[in-house]
Amino acid sequence: MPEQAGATTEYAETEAQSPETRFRLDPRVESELARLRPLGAPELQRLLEAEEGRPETRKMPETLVCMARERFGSGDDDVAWMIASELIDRNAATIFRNVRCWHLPPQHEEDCIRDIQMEALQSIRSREQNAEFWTVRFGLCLKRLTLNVIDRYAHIAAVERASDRDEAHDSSRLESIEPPAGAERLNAQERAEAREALALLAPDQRMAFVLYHYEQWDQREIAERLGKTDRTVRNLLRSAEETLESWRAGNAPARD
Amino acid sequence: MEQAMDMSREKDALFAEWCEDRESKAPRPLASWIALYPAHAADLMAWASAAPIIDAAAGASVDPPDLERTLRSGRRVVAEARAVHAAPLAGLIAAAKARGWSAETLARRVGVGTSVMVKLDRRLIRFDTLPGRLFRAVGEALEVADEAVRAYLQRPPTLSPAASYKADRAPRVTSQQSFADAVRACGEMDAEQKQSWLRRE
Repeated sequence: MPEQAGATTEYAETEAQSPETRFRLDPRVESELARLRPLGAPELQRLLEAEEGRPETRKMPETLVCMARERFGSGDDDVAWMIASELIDRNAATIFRNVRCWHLPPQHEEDCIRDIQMEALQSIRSREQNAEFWTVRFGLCLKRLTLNVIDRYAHIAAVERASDRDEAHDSSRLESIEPPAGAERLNAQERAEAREALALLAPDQRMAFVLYHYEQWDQREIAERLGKTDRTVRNLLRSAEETLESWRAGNAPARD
Repeated sequence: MEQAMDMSREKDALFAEWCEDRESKAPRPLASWIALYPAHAADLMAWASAAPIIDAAAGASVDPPDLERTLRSGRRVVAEARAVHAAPLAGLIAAAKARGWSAETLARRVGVGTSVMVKLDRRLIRFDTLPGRLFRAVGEALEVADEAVRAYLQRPPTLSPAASYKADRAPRVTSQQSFADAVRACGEMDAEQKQSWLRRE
């Protein structure tokens, strides 16, 4: 498969980590935990309040997840909930930013945010082994959870947009598109500009579009990988380009 | 279940590796990731197709009213979860059912046989014979405090909710079994599982 645009073939050698190393607690977390464990509810609350607005002094989120789980396990519920709530609060802006860029209708956006917060809270509380990575890489776990939840809502939004389009246009139109193979690829600047509008594409369109323009795959490879015909891939690319074209012209679907 | 666990850990590790690589100076192309991890091709493609959108979001500012709305939503979520959590356990199997699991699923997650789980649920096993790690295992599976499990299992035994009785007064369960006896008598646990529960803590 062709190389990614702009990337050299000398890939960065990321340090290979064994699963054991990857799942090991950060020593800073261990040391923060040792200091926090003896504290009671009032001292912890004071400490967390004092950290507000001073990110440099903040305890690592992984430390807080460990603490919350320990306190839930020992029945020290007040402290456990306080810590869990702090974690949800601290990540409000991140969650909002990541959801907003998908241009979901307002009701879906609200539900999506709530689902992410609910599932994150569940993971923070969970002491099952499959939730242990939250104590190792909190930010990554939240990111993956966010992507999973958004994916559900993006599908719903895509179906709704498609049905809106079907009402406005002849639904058989897509089938009649026969664009030429090997359409021109976007350059780096166009790719950067298009990022914001990718969320307006249906999942299939987006996948084909990103693989073609961002990953520089050819249409046949995309078709093979997605289990679709070449013609379907061309149609997906053409309809994605049309959506982006109308977005560029300032005609992006309005948030109702 | 172990296989699902391995898969989940593998996906966690892969996502971490892929994210770290994307932030490096010369990230590997998607095709090379797929060649390395063909079993995760669908995940890798899904992450790659969402990545440009999430990248674009990274620098976006959040208006105070939007932040306030998100904070309020989070606090409501915590308050609701806390209210549910504060209610005493109505039953182990009832709590499992509330999560959409059967008694068998809960038993499997805890690592005991279903008959042992049913006996635990009805408190037909003497509390003083229960190992501490059982409270932890049930607490972890149901995501409740070990203390809540302990408190539930300490209460008097109950009769089967399906049984009907003709006596004037409500009958009482008089005999309870030890945990070790319940494990030994359980036909659904293999020798290794039994051994792991029967060894001293």
